[in-house]
Amino acid sequence: MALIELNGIKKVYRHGDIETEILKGIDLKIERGEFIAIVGPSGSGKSTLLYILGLLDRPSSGSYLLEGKEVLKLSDDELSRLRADYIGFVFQAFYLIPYLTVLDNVLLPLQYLPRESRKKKFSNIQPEKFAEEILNRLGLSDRKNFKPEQLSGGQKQRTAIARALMNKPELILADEPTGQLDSASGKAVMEILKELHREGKTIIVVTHDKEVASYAQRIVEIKDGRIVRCSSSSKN
Amino acid sequence: MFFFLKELISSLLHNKVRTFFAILGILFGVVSLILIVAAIEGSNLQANRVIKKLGPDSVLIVSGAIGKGPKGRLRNLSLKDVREISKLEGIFALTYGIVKPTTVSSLSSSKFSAVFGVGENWLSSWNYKIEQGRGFTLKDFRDLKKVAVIGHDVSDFFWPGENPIGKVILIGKTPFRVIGVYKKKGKTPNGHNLDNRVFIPYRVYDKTVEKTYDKVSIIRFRVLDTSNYSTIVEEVRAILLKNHSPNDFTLITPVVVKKFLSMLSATFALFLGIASTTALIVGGFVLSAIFYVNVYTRQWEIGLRKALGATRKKVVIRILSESLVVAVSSAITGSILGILLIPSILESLNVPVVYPAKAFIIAAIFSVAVCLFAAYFPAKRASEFNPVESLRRKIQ
Repeated sequence: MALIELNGIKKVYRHGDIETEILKGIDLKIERGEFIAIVGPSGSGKSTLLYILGLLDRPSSGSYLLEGKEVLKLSDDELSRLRADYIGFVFQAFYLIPYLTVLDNVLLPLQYLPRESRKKKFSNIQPEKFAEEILNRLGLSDRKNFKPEQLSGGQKQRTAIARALMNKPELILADEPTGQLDSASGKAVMEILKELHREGKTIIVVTHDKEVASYAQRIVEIKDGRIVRCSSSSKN
Repeated sequence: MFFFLKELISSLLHNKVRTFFAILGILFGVVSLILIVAAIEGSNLQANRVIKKLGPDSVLIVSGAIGKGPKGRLRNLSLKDVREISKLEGIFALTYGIVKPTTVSSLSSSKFSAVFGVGENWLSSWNYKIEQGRGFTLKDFRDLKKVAVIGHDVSDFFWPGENPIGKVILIGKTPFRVIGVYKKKGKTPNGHNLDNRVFIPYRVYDKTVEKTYDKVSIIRFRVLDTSNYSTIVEEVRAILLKNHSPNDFTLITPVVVKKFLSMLSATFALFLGIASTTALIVGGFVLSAIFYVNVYTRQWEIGLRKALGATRKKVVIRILSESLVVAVSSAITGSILGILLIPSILESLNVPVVYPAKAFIIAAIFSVAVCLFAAYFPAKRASEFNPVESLRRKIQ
């Protein structure tokens, strides 16, 4: 069974009388453990698709099966709980909370993880210990008590990745993760995502950068709200 | 839970100015509420003290209309009133007195004391407890004995450290034998010294201190059965109105005292109550506005929390918790300020200084209620934010 199956996803925005169709019927199957890049020019609807995949936004019509279950019928709060459990987000603008230390930013999602999942996921490790392990792995252990403003762009994005990993999600969604980074930091971030993929995580990256897309196994190209091409990347 | 609190406090400390104004807004209301409840409690305490001193079953008749200056010098009442009242059924411990500040002296020194010519029962009726020697006997009254019961200040002045019983003092020019000393009574609420008094039998007073012409300043009696209280008071009033004009006397009963004092405290309560409620409501609006601005400036943060899996309820709880911290901080700061301000404020209101727990509890409850109410609407609004739009609101 596919991890995610989208069928006929449409998204329409209304501004007064004007209707804009951002997504015009997307069918997409994502297997567990895939690394997918969604590419396309700006305004093509790729970010909207990512937010729909991340259960942050609802399509106007279509169906979304997560592990074979239709999720669009669920309430907002049920979607919130699914997000906490299944999905880790990495954003272009990092979205680190300025008054929290690096470690506390990483621990932040834990309070939203439903209790049963928390018990299951952290049965053999203390969450705090796990957070330190991730930071250690991402080369941030000496920065754990720093505030975000004291970090470089690359460190900020690595902190955001650590936060995305905190709840041990099935799926990692990254929206232009290298958009605000210099090329060296960007490369480092993509290497981390690649490594996470190798460990079995499902990763979806939205980008307009060909270099970034080349890390993925499969590249989904979107134009004017439709998938125009699906191809395998040469690098993998 | 620990993480939640830690994160909450960091957030409030991060926005120091906002938190400061939020606390300040509530603080005024909290402080004024504490002061008003303390003032009311203080004046109730005073009323109860006065009533206790008076006795719940007692009636006091003083010369002159109430609120018209010192009544000690007025002698509108007379023994005729006393005799007529004594014929009423259902009363006991009837007594009367007259007073004049008089020079009291021993062989070597002299002082000014309030000398009272009193009827039988005076000491027991007013709750003077004999500490040394004895009180008056019927024989003292009948035989016009020149005997005196004195206060501690008098005995300590003339015979410090000695037993005054049997000693002689001169009241005016007449020698009196000291037969008793009463227990210290301290001061009246108006500051009169209750221990600088000398009591002698009324008839003896008439013959030695001054001619009384059968006049008295104060009459007092108690009622056997308090259910007959108002009937008896009306009968007494009828007797007095027969002998005097209505402005010549005042009937003081616990009911009157209570009415008078609670009228005062009701005025207090109304005035200060309106003031502090207004302060709290205004504070609540200020707080609400601050929280509205806050949830909008932090909209991306709320969007992020939703992206991380926060449900509506968690967003609401989060923001209400922030306001709860504001409420508790205001309550604590307000209580400290209240404790510091109570003495000066209550003293200026002529009310005994009290620190009623009730005041602090009421203020804390109000503070929490106002804060939760004020933050609820911004919190609810925040919980309804669309996460995708909220994330776009980040100010870089």
